[in-house]
Amino acid sequence: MISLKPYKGGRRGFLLLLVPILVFCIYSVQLKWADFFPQEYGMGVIKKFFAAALEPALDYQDLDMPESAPPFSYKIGAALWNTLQYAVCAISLSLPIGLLLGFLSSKSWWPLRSTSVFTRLTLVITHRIARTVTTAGRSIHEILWALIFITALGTSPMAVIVALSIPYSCSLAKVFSELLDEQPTYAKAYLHSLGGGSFNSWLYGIFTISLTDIVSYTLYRFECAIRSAAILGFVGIATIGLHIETAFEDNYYNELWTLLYALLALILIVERSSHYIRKSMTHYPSAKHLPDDLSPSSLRRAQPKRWLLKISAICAIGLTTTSWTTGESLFSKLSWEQRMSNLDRFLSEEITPYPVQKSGDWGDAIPWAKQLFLEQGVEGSLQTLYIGTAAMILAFLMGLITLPWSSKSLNEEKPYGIYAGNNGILNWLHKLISLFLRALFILCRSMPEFLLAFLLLQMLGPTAWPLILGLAIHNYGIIGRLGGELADHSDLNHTKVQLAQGGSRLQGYLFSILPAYFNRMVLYFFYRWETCIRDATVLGLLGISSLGFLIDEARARDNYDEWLFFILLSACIVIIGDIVSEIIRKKLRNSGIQS
Amino acid sequence: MFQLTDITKSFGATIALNKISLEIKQGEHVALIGPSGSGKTTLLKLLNGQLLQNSGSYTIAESHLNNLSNKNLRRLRSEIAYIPQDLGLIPQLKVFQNILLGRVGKHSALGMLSKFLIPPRNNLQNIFSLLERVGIPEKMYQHTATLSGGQQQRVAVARALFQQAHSLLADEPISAVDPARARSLITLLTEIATENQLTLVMSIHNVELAREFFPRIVGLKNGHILFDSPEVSTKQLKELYHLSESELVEP
Repeated sequence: MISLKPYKGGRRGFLLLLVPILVFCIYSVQLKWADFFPQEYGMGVIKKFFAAALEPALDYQDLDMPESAPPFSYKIGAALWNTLQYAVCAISLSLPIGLLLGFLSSKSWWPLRSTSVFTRLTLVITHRIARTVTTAGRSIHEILWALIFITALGTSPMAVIVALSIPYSCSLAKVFSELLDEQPTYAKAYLHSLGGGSFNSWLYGIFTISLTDIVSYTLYRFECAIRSAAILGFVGIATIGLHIETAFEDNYYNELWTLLYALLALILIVERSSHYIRKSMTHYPSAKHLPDDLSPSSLRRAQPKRWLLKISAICAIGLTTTSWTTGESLFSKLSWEQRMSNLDRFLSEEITPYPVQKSGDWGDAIPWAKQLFLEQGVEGSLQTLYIGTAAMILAFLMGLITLPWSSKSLNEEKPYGIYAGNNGILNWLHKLISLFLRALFILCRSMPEFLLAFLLLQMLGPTAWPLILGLAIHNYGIIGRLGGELADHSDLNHTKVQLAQGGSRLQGYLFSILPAYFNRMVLYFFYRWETCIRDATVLGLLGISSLGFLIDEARARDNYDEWLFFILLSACIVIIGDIVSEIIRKKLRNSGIQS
Repeated sequence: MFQLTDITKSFGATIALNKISLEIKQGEHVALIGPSGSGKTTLLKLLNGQLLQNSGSYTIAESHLNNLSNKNLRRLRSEIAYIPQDLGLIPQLKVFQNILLGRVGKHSALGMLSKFLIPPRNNLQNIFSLLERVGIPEKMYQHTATLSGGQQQRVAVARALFQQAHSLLADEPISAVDPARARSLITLLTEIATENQLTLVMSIHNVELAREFFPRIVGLKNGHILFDSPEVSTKQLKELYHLSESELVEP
C-alpha cells in the first residue's frame, strides 16, 4: 500500500528548530535586540574607524615618536614576519607529529588477516592511546595552551611555538586519521593480492591516494596557524595582534587599518596560493607533442613539468629553514635552571588548589572544585555554549539564504550549461553578485574570529553580540565556501532537468540542490559547531561573561588553581561538543549521504 | 599448478562454491563462464589465495594453502598476477609507478620505497617495453587518472606482466569495453600468456570470445561446475544461462 501522506519533513523540522534555538541562546546570554545596534559612543568609534579605512597610515600617527624609532614600514614588516614565523614554525613542528599521531589513530594500516591476540591487543591499545592524546590536545584552545606555557616556563618564542603546535598536531592527526580511514580500500586489497606486506599495501594503496587531501588540509591549517599566531598578540606575544590591540587603544585608527590590511594581505596570499597548489595537485597535464624517438628518457623530458608544485615545495623548505634560524633566539634568555624552578613552582604551588596548599590533603580539592563549578563554572559553560551555538546557527542560516546567489555554476550565463535566455544585463548582474559574495566569503573566513570580536566589541559595547557576530562572520565565510563547493563541483542531473523544464535558478536551488545536499550541509553545520564551541571558550578573554572571562579573571587575581580549573572545564566542554557532533555526524553519514 | 579438491566456500548462509574439484596445469588457458553470482570471482580469489576455503583441499604449486605462513603466502602470491574487475590501479600515480607496484610482493618496505622513488634504469626500460607490447608506450609518464578505460586496462595488463609471475588470473577484464576493444584485449592477453608460458585463468561473460580463444572452458552455476570441456554445446549453454521462474521478469 503506497502511503499518500506527505513526507515527514525532517529538513523543514531541522530548519524550523534552529530558529527557536537561536532565540533561546540569545535570550539566555541576556542579550537584547537593542544591544545589536551601537550606542552613541559606539557610533563615534564606528565613524572614526571606517573613515580611517580609506586612509591607512604610511607613517607613525604618534607625532612624539623618538628619532631612533625604526621606520613605520619596518614595524609593519617585522610584525607580519613574526606572525608568519610563528605560524611556519608551529606547522612544521605539527606536521610530523600530526602524521605520526594520525597514523596511530587510524585503523587503515592494520593487517587484513587476523594476527595473534597479542598483536591485536597492542594495536587496539595504541589506537586508543593515540585517539585520547589527539582529543585531549585539541580540547584546549591554542591561546590557553600559550597561557599555560608562558605561566609555567616563562615567555619564550619556543614556548609559544610548542603551545601552538599541540592543538595543531592533534587537529592534523584527527583529520589525517579520518582521511586515511575513509579511503576506498580496493588498491590496498589489490596490492595485498600481489603479496604486498601490510605496510607496503597501506603506503601505496591508501597513503598515496590520501596524499592530496593531506597536503590540502595542511595548507588550510597553515592558514589557520597565521590567524592563531596573529591573535596570540592579544595575550602579549609580539605578533601583529599586539600592534592591532595597541593601535586601537591609542585611537590610531589609520595605523590600525594599515595593520589590518597587512594581515589580510598575508592571509589572502597564503589562501590564494593554497587554492592554486590544491588545483595544481589534482590537475594532471599531458605532453602536447610526443618526441620522435620514443624512449623512457625522451618521454620523461616531454612530460610537462608541474612548476607551481616544485616552486611551492622549494618555498616551503626555504621558509621553514629561515623561520627556524633567523630573528631572536627561539629560546628565551632565561637559564634552564630558572625555567625549571618556574615549572617547579607552577606545578607544586601555583596550580595546587588553595585548600590543598593549606591542609596538604587532596581530599579538600573536591568541595573546592564543586563550589567553583556550581558558583561560576555552570554559568560560564552555558554562556559559552549559547554563544557558540547562536553564532553557528546565524552563520548557517545566512549561508543557506545566500547560497543561490553565490554559487558559481548557478549564476553563470548558462547555469549548469543550460541556456537561460538572452537576458542582457541581468546575466551580468547574476555573475557580479556571485563574484561579490564569493569575495565576501574569502574576506570573512580570512579574518580571525577573535579579532573580529575585538573590533566589534569596541563598536557595539560590552555585550555578547560582538562575540556571537565575530564567530558568525568567520563561519559564514567557511559555510559559504563549503556550500558553494557542493553546488559547483557536483554533477546534478536533476538540477539540469529542472532548469530545462523551465525552472528558475532559485527553483533549481530550492528543489534540487538543497534537498540533494541538505544532509551534507547539516554535517558541515555540526563540524563547524564543535569548532565554534572551542573558539567560544576563549572569546571571553575579551572581557565578556563566559568561560574565557573566568579564566582571564582568575589569572588577573593570580589564582592559578582556579585558572587551571576553568581551563580544564573549557576542555571538558569542547570534548562534550566533539562527542555530540561526532555522534550526530555518524548518524547522518549512516543515513545515506553520498560521499 | 592449481589443484582444488571438493572445495566449498560460503559467506554466511550463502554458498559461493559447492564441492568443486578442478585441476589447472602449468601453461593452460582456461575461461570461466557463467551467470552473475555463479562463483567466478570467488573461485579466482580462492586461486589467488585471497580467500580460504571452508572445506576441501587446495594446493598451489604443491603447497597447501591452509598451512602457509604469512611470509610464504606472500611469496606465493607474488608469483600469481591478478587483474581484478576494478583493475586496482591508483589513479593519482603515474602509469610507470602503477606498473612498478606489480612487484610489491617481491620487495621489503624499504626496498620498494627506494625503487618507487628512484626507479632503476633497467626497470624503466622494462616497463617501456611492456607498454610498447600493450600498445601505449607514450603514456608511460602520464597520470593514470587521465587515461581512458581501455588504456587503463592495458596498464593493468602491463603491470601483471611486470610482476614476472607464472600465472595470470583475470576477472572479467573486458566487461567495460566495446566489442572491438574486448577482442583486441583478449587477443593480447592470450598471446602474451602463450609467449611467456603463463597459466591463464579468466572469467568472461562473452561466450563467443571464450569459445574462440580458450581451449578449455569451465561453466559455473550456483557454485557448481556444470561442465569443463574444450567445446561448449548450445544445450550446455542453455542450461548454464537458463533463468529460473523467479528470475524471469513478467512481460
